[in-house]
Amino acid sequence: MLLVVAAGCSKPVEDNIYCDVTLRLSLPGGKEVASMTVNPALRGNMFKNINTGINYPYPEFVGDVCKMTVQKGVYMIAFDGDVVYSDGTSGLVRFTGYNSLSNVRNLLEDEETVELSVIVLR
Amino acid sequence: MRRLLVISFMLLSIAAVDAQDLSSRRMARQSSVLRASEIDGSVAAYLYGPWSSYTEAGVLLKGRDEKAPEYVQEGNGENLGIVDIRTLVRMDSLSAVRGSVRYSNGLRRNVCWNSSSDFRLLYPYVMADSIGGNLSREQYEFSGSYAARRGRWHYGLGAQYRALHEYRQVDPRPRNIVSDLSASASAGYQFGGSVLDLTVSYRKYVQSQNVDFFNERGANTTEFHFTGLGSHFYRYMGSNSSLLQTRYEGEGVSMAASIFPVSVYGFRARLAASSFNIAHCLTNQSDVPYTYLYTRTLFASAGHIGHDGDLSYSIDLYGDLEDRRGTESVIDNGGGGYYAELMHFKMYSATSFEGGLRGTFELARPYGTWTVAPSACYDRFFSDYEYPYRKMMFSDFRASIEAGFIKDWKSWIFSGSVAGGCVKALSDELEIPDDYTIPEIKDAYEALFARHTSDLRSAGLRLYAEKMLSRRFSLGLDASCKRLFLSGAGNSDYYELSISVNF
Repeated sequence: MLLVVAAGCSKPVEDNIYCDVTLRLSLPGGKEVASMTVNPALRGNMFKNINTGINYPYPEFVGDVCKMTVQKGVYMIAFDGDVVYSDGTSGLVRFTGYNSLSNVRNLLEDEETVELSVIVLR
Repeated sequence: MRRLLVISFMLLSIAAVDAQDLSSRRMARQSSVLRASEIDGSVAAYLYGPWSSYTEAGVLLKGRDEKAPEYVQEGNGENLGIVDIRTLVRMDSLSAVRGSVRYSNGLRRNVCWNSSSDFRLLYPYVMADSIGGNLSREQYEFSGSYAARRGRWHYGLGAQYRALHEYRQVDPRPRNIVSDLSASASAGYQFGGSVLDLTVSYRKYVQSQNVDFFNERGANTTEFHFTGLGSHFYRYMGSNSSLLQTRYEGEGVSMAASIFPVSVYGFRARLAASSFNIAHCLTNQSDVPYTYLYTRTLFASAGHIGHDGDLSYSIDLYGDLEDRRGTESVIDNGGGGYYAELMHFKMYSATSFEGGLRGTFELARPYGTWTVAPSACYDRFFSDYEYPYRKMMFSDFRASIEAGFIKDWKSWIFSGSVAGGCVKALSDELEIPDDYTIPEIKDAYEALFARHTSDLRSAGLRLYAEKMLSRRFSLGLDASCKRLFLSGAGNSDYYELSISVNF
């Protein structure tokens, strides 16, 4: 009888549904970043799970790093970010590395680090 | 339909029944206490049952009209016509066969937020839209079993098959075809005055489903792939027909142990467990399974059937537990046209429990038999969804009583009963976030929740008359109706009317 009840558990199921993601900015020329914010109202900015449709807001980058927790899955990642450099100047950078269904990022481990090689717009 | 008729005539022709004392056999069939002695699920225990050979062939009209439907996913009304033939043939004192054929045809009205068949089996993983509409349905059911005794041992083999076709002929147009096959084997041993019976079953389930839109001006709604408590699989919603062809594939096993007396009267107990797993696959996306549902059930009951002078009774204490776990797949981006399942994790769970006490008392008097059947039970349902977190919980207490009278008069049998009941909501909790929930879907869940957390009362009436036409045949007419009174939400009505030939 117990075997019958246990039979429903035979298929391996991932226990932890969440992934702790570290996003790390990489600027051309090695310019140092003090902080960066991503405007959530801009439609092209996304950190979107392609299966569930959940679009996560970006936390503020402190230095060139930010951390966030998302559901494990397949993601489209793209943004325009308002950046403040270490020398006090500001600018605009863009990341389009994972911006379409044919170009996505899998976040399937408990911890993942994503390198974001941005281009400087301004 | 033609196949159904052929099988029906075969069943009728093998029912070469000894027609002696048809009247007393038909009276026994009216006894709730004797009916309580039937062992569910076993394909051999009926060898020990109180019934001699019989055949019942009937036509049944069944309907419901719900102002506040219990499940909008099954519509707010239904009209079904059913042809039902069942037979038990005791070939000798040591062996018997049993068979049934059932064909039903009808319409479910205003089915909403569900395009799949067998909603209660498959929820939460159904396709759904906000428009819905009437669903035509046609269902065939066949079952048969053989059982025999050898000394103190008994065994039995049986199978049953169900085919269902549901469809709608206006947009959105679901078309679902279900094949549901199960096979069972029972074996047992008689020790003293009791019998131990073990039954194992295997079930295979397939439902192919597609939803079409024919309107040249475009789709009139969006089709969703629900994943539980208002969430849905965002990636595949829409009206693109390539995303709306799916298939459910399920299989499961069950096991039951029963102990019951050789005669009708005595202690009885039953313990049954089942496990049933269903994958929901996207046919046009490499057949990738995007959800899995694991359903496990556990049922236990213990009771006693006894008699004391003119009083006979059955009392039964039972508990019924169901646990559902749903997992969702992470599907890759489909590079190269092939969609792969990368991993899957548990997102949905639901636990329901019903436990209670039910009884039937029959007092035989020279002028007829009085019956009273009280019951009381506790119900609890809890479900939650992992992320974004959602929760629905409610519990209630239910009580009912049915009182009736059975009269054998010349070549007639009459019986009638009235019933009343109430449901008292005990606790409830609903948590569905606004984020990532479409407002119309949230409204639908709130309405469903309100229906299941309302106090209600019920009243019912049943009348039955049977005329012995000859020593071999009788003709029965059975009518019953029931009304639910929901405070502030309108009434729900249910009725059944059947006419049957018995021999």
